[in-house]
Amino acid sequence: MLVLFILTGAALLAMVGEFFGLGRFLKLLIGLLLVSALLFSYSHLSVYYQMLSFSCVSSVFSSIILFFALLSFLSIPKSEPMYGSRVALLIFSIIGALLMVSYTHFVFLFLGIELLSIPLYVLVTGSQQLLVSKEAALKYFLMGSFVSAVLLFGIALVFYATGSFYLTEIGAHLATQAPSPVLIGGLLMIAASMCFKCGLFPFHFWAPDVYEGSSSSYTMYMATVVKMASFLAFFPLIFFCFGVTQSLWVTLFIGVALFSMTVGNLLAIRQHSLKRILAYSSIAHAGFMFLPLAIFDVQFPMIINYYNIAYGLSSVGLFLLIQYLEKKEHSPTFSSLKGLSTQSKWMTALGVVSLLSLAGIPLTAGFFAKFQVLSVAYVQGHVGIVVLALINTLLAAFYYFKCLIYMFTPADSEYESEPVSLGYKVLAVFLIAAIFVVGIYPIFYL
Amino acid sequence: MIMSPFALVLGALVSSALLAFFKHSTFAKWLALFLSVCLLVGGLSIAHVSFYGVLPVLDHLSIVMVLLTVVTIPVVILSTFQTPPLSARYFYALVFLLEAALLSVFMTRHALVFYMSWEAAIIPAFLMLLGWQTPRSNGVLLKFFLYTLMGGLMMLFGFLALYYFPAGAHSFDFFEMMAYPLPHHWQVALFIPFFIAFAVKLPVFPFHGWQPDTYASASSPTVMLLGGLLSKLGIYGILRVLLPLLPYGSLVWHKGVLALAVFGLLYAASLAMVQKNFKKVLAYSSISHCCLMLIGLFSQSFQGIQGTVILMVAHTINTLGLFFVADLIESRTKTLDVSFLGGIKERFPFLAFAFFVFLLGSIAFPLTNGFVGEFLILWALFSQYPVFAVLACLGFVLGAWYMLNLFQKTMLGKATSHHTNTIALTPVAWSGYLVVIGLVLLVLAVGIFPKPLLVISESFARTLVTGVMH
Repeated sequence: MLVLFILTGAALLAMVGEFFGLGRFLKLLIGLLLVSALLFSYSHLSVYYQMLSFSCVSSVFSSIILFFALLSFLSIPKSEPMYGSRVALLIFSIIGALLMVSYTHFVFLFLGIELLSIPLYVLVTGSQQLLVSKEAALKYFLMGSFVSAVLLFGIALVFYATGSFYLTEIGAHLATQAPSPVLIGGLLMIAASMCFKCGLFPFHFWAPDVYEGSSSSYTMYMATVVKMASFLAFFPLIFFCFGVTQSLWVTLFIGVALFSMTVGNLLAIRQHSLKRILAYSSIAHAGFMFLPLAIFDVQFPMIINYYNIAYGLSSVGLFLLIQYLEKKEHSPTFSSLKGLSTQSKWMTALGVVSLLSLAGIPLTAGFFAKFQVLSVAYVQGHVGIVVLALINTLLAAFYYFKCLIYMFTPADSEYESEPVSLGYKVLAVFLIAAIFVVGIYPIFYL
Repeated sequence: MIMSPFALVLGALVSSALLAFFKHSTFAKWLALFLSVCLLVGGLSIAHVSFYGVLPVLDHLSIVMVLLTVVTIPVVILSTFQTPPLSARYFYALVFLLEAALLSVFMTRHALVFYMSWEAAIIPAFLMLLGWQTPRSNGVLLKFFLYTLMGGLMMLFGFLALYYFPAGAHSFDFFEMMAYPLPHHWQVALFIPFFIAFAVKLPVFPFHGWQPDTYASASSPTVMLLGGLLSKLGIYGILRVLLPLLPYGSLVWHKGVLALAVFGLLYAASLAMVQKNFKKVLAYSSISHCCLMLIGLFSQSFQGIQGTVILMVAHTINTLGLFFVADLIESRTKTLDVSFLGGIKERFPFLAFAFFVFLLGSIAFPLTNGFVGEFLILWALFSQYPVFAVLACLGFVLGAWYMLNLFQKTMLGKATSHHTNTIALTPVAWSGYLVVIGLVLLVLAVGIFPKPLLVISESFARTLVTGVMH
């Protein structure tokens, strides 16, 4: 609970800080507040008539979210116009993400999602007056608000069928009575809107455009925090709603997972822009993450959490690399990677390790993430799914390694090599170390 | 602790990290040589204590593979002494990373560690190709990577099944897995992914697509490592996983594999005959030899497996030698196109002599290393499948044909074309002489006195054969 107050304070400070001449220290101050929020993220209580319940598990999830939010915050360049207001919006969005992992009442789920999304619609617009950014923001806003309406309608239908907004009561209702068509329809709508937030097939269309249009820091935020929060918000739904009526959903969910990976990977192969590749690859990874959920394995929270961490670390690495490339040109493509190995050893190392992790090469975090998903699918006897997932890994390796090869290709013309600032170097070393440590000692994060 | 396999892997990793810090290439190469010799000594001592049962950390199969690795690495490093690769420190660092991964594959008993080290070995190899490839070709790189990754994923699938499907206890330990065999139909099914995983690595027909182009475009030390060591991963995998853990599957499939291997042997040999590039001839000849090793492994007989072990060692020695000769030629003539070469014997009689010895080893001339292995394999094959044996003999004839043809075109005759006229008369350095003389001695030693290899391979060959037979 304290963490929410700290974050609200930080957001207010960010909004007004510039008026009080704190502009120079704003990044430091907000950073410290975020770190303190991370330190105080543990709490164990229920508030607002038990609509929001903080537990050990949700505290762990909150701290992971805060950690990645901190990384995204650090990557926002201080020179950006209206820095304070943007940071304030980002922090409000983080609060939304925290609500999404600790709700027990549908109203707070809706509130969390809205609080997460509305600041993002603004942030996607970007500081530069670019048409792509505007297009992205409009698309994201229109689709997002439509999906919010669907979610609300779904919640209303569930309420109509069960007479409650509390997950526990809905779960009890589902456990005792056969679900009515209205209830099933409501749950389906909720599932659809959650899939939209996770970027899963067939609700993935926004991802590439929005990723491409917004600046790297916010894309990083979307790829890590938003995705994590959406997956974590799925957990209680699985426990109380979908898990109870498993047989209705399992085929549909497995289909969603498999189509997400296949469609994501196949479309990623055709792309040239790095951000679009990452967007499609995020769809594919979402499919992988969704798989343990889809087969209703009891271990799914641990597995998805580990996958989230592994995927988060590697995508932060790649978005840092993209941000570095964006200093030279907007919307980097394969050819912008050329000559990277001669320009900056740090960014090359970061890029290589992140790509290896995303491709799921052993000893990196990405391998164990994939390995666990495959193991549970095996244990449950879904051999066909394992085969498809392995084929997808191979497809994904194709474009990841294409990126890798381009990094080591000599540049066409001599670029003025952009110096790498100390912050990047520290983050690069940290991320590389983290990816290996998480990959070599996976047991600590399970 | 100092005698544990872990120390050896750690030593290689530390060497790799250490080397990345020394910018000066002369210093880096001496340091690399020193470290590799240290690892050679470490490997020898571990092999020694394991072989005499003082501290049995490795079984005999692992001892053979570890010795092969620790001996190859100093040879490869020494072979780069005259013309060190660009940014030598990174190259040597990658060599040691590769050594660490390979040692870890060869020494572990745990299937997951096996798989992870197997995949980890691809990365340094891939980076070596990426950084030191001439001419650069992204297609070749991707092909190499996707083929090997596909093999790796197949193996992962197989290991998961091996872990989860036996009815009794679950284990990733190779020796415990042998106690809980899979049901027969699963053995038959799982044979396919495992076989593909190992066949890609060897490579044998029809999974060899990545190999000729990769060998032709990679720098010579990289090819020496790929052909000399990485391809042996496939042999080791078959000996460690396929034959002992899927005995019934191997029995069911062995005729199919033999047919495939005999066809691949002839196919690769006939392709080698029409190649214009020196390295490509060697690449196809390598595929041909790998097919022969596969025949030995699946001949279901004691002699076959022993022959394969000897042929494997011989293939490493000959590959190192032949590609080193190719490197010496290329660095002097700037071309490996056979039609531009000729008359090298006039200017470099030593080079011609070295090439001829390795060539004899490669075509299995008696008293050279190739002969012992090929003879044993053919013997094993002939006693059961005479038709296959006759066809395989045809492959040897073709092999002798293309190798001698290569010798004639490059070493003999007159240096007429413009390329050879401009041969820079850089003499071969002392390091080159050292590599060649060492390898020539090895060729003869294995050919004349193969008994140590026969002794060391006896125990596991016998276990494998009895396991497969029942």
